[in-house]
This record gives sequence, structure tokens and C-alpha cells, in this order.
Amino acid sequence: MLRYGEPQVAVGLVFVVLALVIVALFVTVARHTVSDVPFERVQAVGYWLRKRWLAFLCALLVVVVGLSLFELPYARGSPRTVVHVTGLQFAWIITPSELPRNTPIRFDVTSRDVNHGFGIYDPHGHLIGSVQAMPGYTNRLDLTFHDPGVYHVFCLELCGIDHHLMQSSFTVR
Amino acid sequence: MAASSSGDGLVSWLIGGLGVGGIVLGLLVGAYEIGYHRGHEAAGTSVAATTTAPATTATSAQTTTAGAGGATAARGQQLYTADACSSCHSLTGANGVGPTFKGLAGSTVTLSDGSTIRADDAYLAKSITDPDAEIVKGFQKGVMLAAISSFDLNGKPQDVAALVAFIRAQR
Amino acid sequence: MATAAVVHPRALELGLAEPRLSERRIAWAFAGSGVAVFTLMGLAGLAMRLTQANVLALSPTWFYRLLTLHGAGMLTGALLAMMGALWYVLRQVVPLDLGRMLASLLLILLGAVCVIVATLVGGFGTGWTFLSPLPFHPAGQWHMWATATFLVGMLLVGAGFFVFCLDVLIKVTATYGGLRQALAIPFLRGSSDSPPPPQVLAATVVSLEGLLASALGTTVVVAMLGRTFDGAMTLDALWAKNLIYFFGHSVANLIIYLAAGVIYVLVPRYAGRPWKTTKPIVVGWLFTLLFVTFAYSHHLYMDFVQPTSLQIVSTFASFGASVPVAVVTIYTGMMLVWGSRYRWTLASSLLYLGFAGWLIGGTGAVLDSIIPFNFRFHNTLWVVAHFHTYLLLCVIFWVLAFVAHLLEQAAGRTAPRGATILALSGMVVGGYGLVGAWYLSGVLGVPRRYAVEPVGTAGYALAGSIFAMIFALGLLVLLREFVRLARAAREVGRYEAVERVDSWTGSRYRSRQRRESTGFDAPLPEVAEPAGALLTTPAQYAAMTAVAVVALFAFLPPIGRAAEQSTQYHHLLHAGQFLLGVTVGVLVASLPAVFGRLRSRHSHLGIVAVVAAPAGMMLAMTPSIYAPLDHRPALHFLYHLGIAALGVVTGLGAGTLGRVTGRFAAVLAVSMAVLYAAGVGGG
Repeated sequence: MLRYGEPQVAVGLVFVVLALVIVALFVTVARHTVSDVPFERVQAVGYWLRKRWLAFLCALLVVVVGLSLFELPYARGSPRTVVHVTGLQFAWIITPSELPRNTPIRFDVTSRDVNHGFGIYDPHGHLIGSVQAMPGYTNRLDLTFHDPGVYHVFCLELCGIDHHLMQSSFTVR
Repeated sequence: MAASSSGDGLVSWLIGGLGVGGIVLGLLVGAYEIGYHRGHEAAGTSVAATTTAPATTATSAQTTTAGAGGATAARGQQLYTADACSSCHSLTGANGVGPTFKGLAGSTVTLSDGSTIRADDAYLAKSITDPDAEIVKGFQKGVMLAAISSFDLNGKPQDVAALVAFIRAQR
Repeated sequence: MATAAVVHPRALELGLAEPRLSERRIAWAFAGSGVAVFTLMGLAGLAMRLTQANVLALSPTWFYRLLTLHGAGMLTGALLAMMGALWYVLRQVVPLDLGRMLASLLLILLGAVCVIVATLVGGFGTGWTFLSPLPFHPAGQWHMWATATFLVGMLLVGAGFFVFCLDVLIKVTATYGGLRQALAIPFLRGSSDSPPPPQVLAATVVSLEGLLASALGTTVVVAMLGRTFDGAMTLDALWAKNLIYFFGHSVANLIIYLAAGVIYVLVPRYAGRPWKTTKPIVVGWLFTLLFVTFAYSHHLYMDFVQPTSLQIVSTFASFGASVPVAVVTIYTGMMLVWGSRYRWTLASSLLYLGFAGWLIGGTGAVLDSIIPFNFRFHNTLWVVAHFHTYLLLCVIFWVLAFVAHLLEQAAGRTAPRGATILALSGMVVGGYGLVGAWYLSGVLGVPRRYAVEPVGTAGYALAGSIFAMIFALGLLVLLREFVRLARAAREVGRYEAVERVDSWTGSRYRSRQRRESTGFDAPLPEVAEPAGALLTTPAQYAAMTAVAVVALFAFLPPIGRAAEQSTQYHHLLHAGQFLLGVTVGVLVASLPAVFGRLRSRHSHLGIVAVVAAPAGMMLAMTPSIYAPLDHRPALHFLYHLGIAALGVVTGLGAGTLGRVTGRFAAVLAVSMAVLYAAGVGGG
């Protein structure tokens, strides 16, 4: 069973708010299209506003993208507890399949045939994240699990006819 | 009266925006770092707690090369997890990518061409060495072959027999 | 022409030109086939949603076939329509070639047929992104001929787009006197007062990026085509993914930028205000050119082996690409319509709604382009939601707006207000509901491309299906109005009102008589500077000769022996031979005596050469083709000469394309050979 979780819900809410703001904007502009305003006046106000809008977007870009760079999922440093994950049509081989909790775990993910997506769902059904399984390459993902229980794995890259059946799990004790 | 040019000052505002963003970013990161250090000093724990945890004792860490020997159901169970048969064939009775093993041995299965056959040892062995010969109705051809082709079970009759014994043990 | 009734009163003062007959016909051919493809693919999409909702009982086999067809078909249809629309508006100022446009249409339609056969008959089901090596691991679902057919289809669509981009770039640079002028850089610097109109900027950026994307796409597709008959060949999975996503992302993104060029021309007709080239627009397009080149790597965020530097550049580029859109294009559009007494017709309403779809879809996209968020949203239905917002609620709305515009111009009237509101309400409610269900599913973490949805989530698919059907109903009303407008247009086109005098009674009466077709077309615009030779100064000749000499080393035995070390080195050697051929071809084509003979008459052949020769060269580099020659040195040498000969053909062909386009094409061709060498192994 999938359940809503963070931070997806927060991102979703931000999106809904922004989308509603955009809709409000377009409704406002549409209502003002029927009047007759000299173009020079529109330009004067428009250019005044646009500079500030541009500055705001640039600042937002730097802050948001800059902050995101501190939260990159790409593994760094020496291996800790290593879990080998191999994807194949249409199964996952996860060794070891019982993991300790509150310990940094490194997943070494690869594939035996085609591209697969190693998608991890916690015991409550929230999607924690994913990493691609590519043939000929090993992608390294570092995660620490705090909740004990059974974590489910779904395949997140179309890999053939049984892509939607390619599921597995591992346990965190 | 000349209208204000659209490009007036746009570049300065662009650079200004980037600059303001950089300052805000710096303040946020700085504040986080200071708060983080202060918090940890207060709690008395060190920041870099990288203790290398020992590898977990896993129940399924063996590879197929270290065989327990013989065509026993125990060896079959080893292969069942090591060769990832478990990913497609459950022991719970629920079908997945492939049919479940629970109650399979000795049962009557319906094949894709509509005919029925009893799942005896010969049928089970053939399903492993030549998966596409007799496909059970409702399942896809080619999938198992693709999955197990690298194991070369055709050349390991003892392993095939072990797997059949394991399947027989699933009542 | 009775167009006055459907445009803004002030638009007539703007002096907007009338389209020629050929432009209208091309617009109809492209937009018409685009709408037809879109409608059929839409039915496939509905079938997929209903299957996921457990309402329709399609097998996974058929689901994945339809999935593949739907993606490829929708993008092809949208591409066709927007290419036609941009051609229609651009030909007012740039003398684009009719024959090449028809060639593009033929190539793309042939490609579409190949894709349909490969999926519906052959069972190809990899999703339209055909990520290697999935096409070669069918798990019993399709044969290699289906893979090959699909790849040929992609090749043909890419070639059709390539021909279009070549013609646009050649003609635009010739009309305005160079690439810098076409991008309005002198205007930016203040040394010019008359920049090209904004649709030219859009067309230039699209053609540059389109040539690059097609070239890279051709490289990976031809390599994969070789793999269909050479089983021992290996393709690096990361290399293939980079090239496939560069090709796919760029083409999809460029469809929207093609549309932007069309918007520049259409909005003024309904707003009564001109959309002029200003410095922000010029800078916006320059940044767009930069950002679109690097944004594609956001499809590889979850491939941790992708260089982290590229991931970071891509996240800046992806967010950055939205800035020119939000600050220049959409913002100026809003300024144009504010207080303008906007003429609300069927076409102009669809235009306006498209802007909203672009901005909302962009918000979803920017959120997903933040890497920590992508970590949770990658390949969930959130991705499906955001690109459907772009493609359905922006691009398709604009395709339909363009068709509506053509019909309104021809018929002299627009659709009745009630029908317009009914159609648009259905499409807006249905469309936003459809993507809303996907956004919600994405937040929940539902994976994409699942024939059977995870337990408990089929309800979202059902909601999506219902909204899709509401959209379809709105679309039906719209299409009915299109048919009515088309009928009215036929009347207007065929008959004109005349006043007659009855010869018996002497009274006057109104009657109609058939229009005489004048067949008169306004002459095409003049070019400022016809296509120039690739090399003009002695320094350039010297540089090219130096490159040729270096490339000659590729034929020396020590290099040949070193190349035997690995397939990659061997292919690099071939790339060197190809480079030699290209440099010789360019040198020869630039010689005044030769260039005088080769001028534009032969640039049709030049285009064929530049499209076909590099692809042929890469196909010939499939290891199983040259492997038998390993022990026959004479034949092997001839084979290498053949590679070089293909290079000469490419170079000669590039030489006929004009200074800017020819140079770019030559560089692209050589880059393709080098890239091929990087990713192909085995054999």
C-alpha cells in the first residue's frame, strides 16, 4: 500500500499554491484585456515590474539550487555496510537482505541486462527515493534507515513486459 | 515623449538578483552550520560519527559456487534465494511474475495451449532447463529464459534436482 | 479577403502580411496531419488510462505497445504541426524552400508509419525512449525486425526535422547576413537599428539546437541499428542514455520553442499591438540556446555514475531555462494583451490558455529539476503530469489555436460564443483534471509506465480516465466547430457576392458567382547575402589543410596497429579517416572554381549528402561489417578509403550549404563519428 509522505507532500502543496497563483494571475490579466489602456502606460508599469520579477527569480534560482546542492544523493566517501543489488528481467537480487537500522548503508546497484530503477518504499509505504540500475555500471546510494520493518522495492524504469511485477523487499532490524 | 526602453537596467537587476540570492544562500548555510555546531556541542556528541558497522549476518549471503553438495531440498533452498527464484516464485501461494511453488508439485496445471498436465518431477525439471517449452496459462513466454540463461542450469543436473526437491517440499 | 472581422481592428494598421497560397497549403498539410495523429494517439492514451483503472482489460503486452506508440506518435504529431506553423509565419520574411519542406513531411510521415508497424504489428514495447539495451532484451515480446523498424522510424523522423532545420538556418543566415545578425547580436550591441523580427530569433535558436539534437540522435540510433544485426557489438549504456535523452528532451523542448515563434506572430493579430524584437528578447533567446543544450541531463539525475559536474550544470540550466520564458516570452505576451481590447475568438482563447499551461507545467518541471526532489519524484507519475501539462495544455492548445486561426482567416468569422465556451471548458476541466490526478499520484509515489497500477491506486487512474473523457468531449465540440468553419471557408473561398442588374426589369439584386482563382502569390523575400563558401581567407584554407594533414596520419601503419588494441580505438581511427574526407571535401568545395559551379542549385544534393553520408558511415562501422576484412589488407584499405570517401561527400555537401550552416554541418558530422567511437565496443 502506498501512502503519502514527506517531502513529496510539501512539494505538492507548494506546487498547488503556485499553480493557483498562476491561475489567479491569468484570470486577472484576462479580465483586464477588455479595457483600453495605452500601450506606453502598460510598458511603463510592465518594465518597472519586470526588473524586480527577474531579480526575484534569479535570487530564487541561486537560493533553491544552491541549497539543493547540499542535499545531493550521490554517495561520497568510503563504503560502510555494503548491500549488493542486482536488477534483472524481472527480479531483484538483494544481498544481504537483512540490514541493521540507524547505520549508514551503501547500496551498490547494478543490472544484469537492461536499465531498471531501484525504488525503495519504507514500511509505511512512502517512497524514500530511487537509483538507476544500469548494466556495466554500479550506482552507489547511501541511506540510513531508522524505522524497522519490511521495505518494499518497486522497479522504476521500464524494463519489459513484467516491469510492473518486478518487486522485492528487504528487512531492517 | 520617449517610452521607457524595455532593456533599461535589466542586466543590473539580473546581477543584483543573483547577488542577493548568493547572500541569502550564504546566510542560510552559515546559520545552519552555526546552529548545527552549537546544538552538537550542547549535546556533547561528536559530529563525525562514522563507525563502520560490521557486515550483517545475513541468511542469504552465499553464492551458488559454494554448494552444500548433493541434490537435497536444503541445497535447493540455497539456490532458491541465491539465484533469485524467490523474486518471481513465492512460497506463500500468491502468483507473481511466475507461479507460486506452494502446492505446485503434483498439482494439475493448465498450459498456454489449453492442455492440462500433472506437475511431476519430469515436468518441474523441464520447466527449469527449458522454460519456454511448456508455459503455464497466464504467464509470459521468454521471461524466465531471460532471467536464468546466465546460470547455465542445463549443465548442472544436480542443481536442477535440488531445486525440484525443494519445490516438492513446498506443500 | 474577409479577415478583418476576426482580427483586432488595430492589427490591420500593423501591416501584417497575407500568407501565400503555398504557405497556407503547407500549414494545412502539417497542422492537419498533426491533429489527426494527435487524435489517434489520444485514443491510445485513453485506452491506457482505462486499462490502468481496471476498466479496460488490455494485456500488458498491448499496454506497452500502445505506450510506445503513444509517446512517439504524440511527439511526432506535435512536431509536425509546429514545424508547419513556424514555416507559415517565417516565410513572410525568409524565403524558405517549399520542396525541402515537402521532403521533411514525407520523411516524418514515413517514420511515423515505421513506428506504427513496429509497435502494433511487431510488438515493440520499450516506451518511446527506446533506452539501450532494452530493445535487445525483448523477453519474448518482439523480434529484432521490430526493433530495427522502430529505429528506422526514429531515424526518418530525425532526418525530416534535420532537413527542416538545415533549410531554416541556411535561409535565415542568408537573409540577415550571418549568424550573429540572425541572433540580433549587432542590435544588442547597439550597432544596428533594425533587428530581425522575433520569430527569426526563435527559428535560429531552434534550428541550431535541432541540428545538434538530430545529429546526436542519429548517432545512437544508427549504432543501435547496427546492434540489431550484430549481436556481438556492445553499446555503453551510459553513453546511449546520454545521447537518447539529449535527442528526446531537446526535440520535445524545441517543439515548445517552435511554438513561441508562432505566438510572436499570432498574438499581435488579436491584441492589435506589435511584438517587436527588443534587447531582453535577444538576451532571452541567447540564454535559452545555452540552457537548452545542458538541461537534458536532468533525465539522468538518478544515474549516479553520470559526472556530478554535469548534474549540477544541468540543474542550473533546467531552472535557468524557465527564466527567459517567465520574464520575457510569457511576460511580454501578458503585457501585449493587458488593456488591449483583446479580440476573443476561438483561436485567441486557445492561445491565451496555452500560456497558462506553459507556466504551470514549467513550475512542476522546475520542482522536479531540483535534485533532492527528483530523488523522490524520478519516474513517478509526477513526471508524466508535468510533461502532459506542457504538451497537452500548452502545445496542443496552440496547435488547435493555429488551426482555428487558419480556419477563421479563411471563413471570415469565428465559432459562436456558446460553442467556444463549451469546448474550452471541457478541455480545460478535463485536461487539468487529467494532469491533476497524475500530480497527486506522483506525490503518492506511484511509478510510471505500469500496465497494472500498484494495489489501491487504480482509483486515481479512474479519475484520470473520467477527466480524459471530459477533455475528449470538449475536443469533439471543438472539432465540430472546425468542420463548420471549414464549410464556411469553402463557401467564402469559392464564391463572392456580386451585384447584378436584371436585364428584364432593370432592378438590382445581389447574387453570387464563382471566384476566379488568380493564382497570384506575393514574391518571396530577397536574401541579403547568398550562401557563401565555407573557406574564404588564406588563413582559413591553411588551417583546414593543416587539419587534413593531421587526419592523414590516420592512414599510417603505426597508428593502425595501435588501433587494433580495442574497438574504440579502431573506430576513432575510422573517425580520423572520415575527418580527412570531410576536410578534403570542404577544401575542394571552397575553391572558387568549384564553388561557382556548386552554388545553391546543388544545395538540395548537399542536404541529402549531409544527412545520409554520416549515417551511412556509422552504419558501415558496425563491427560485423568490417570484421571479415580483417585478414584481407587490400580490402581493408579500400574500406578505409570508402569511409574517407563518405567524408568527402559530406564535405562537398556541406560546402553547398552556406558559410554558417555548412561549417556547422561539417563539424557535426565529424563529431558524430567521434561520438560513435566513444560508445561502441565489441565485435
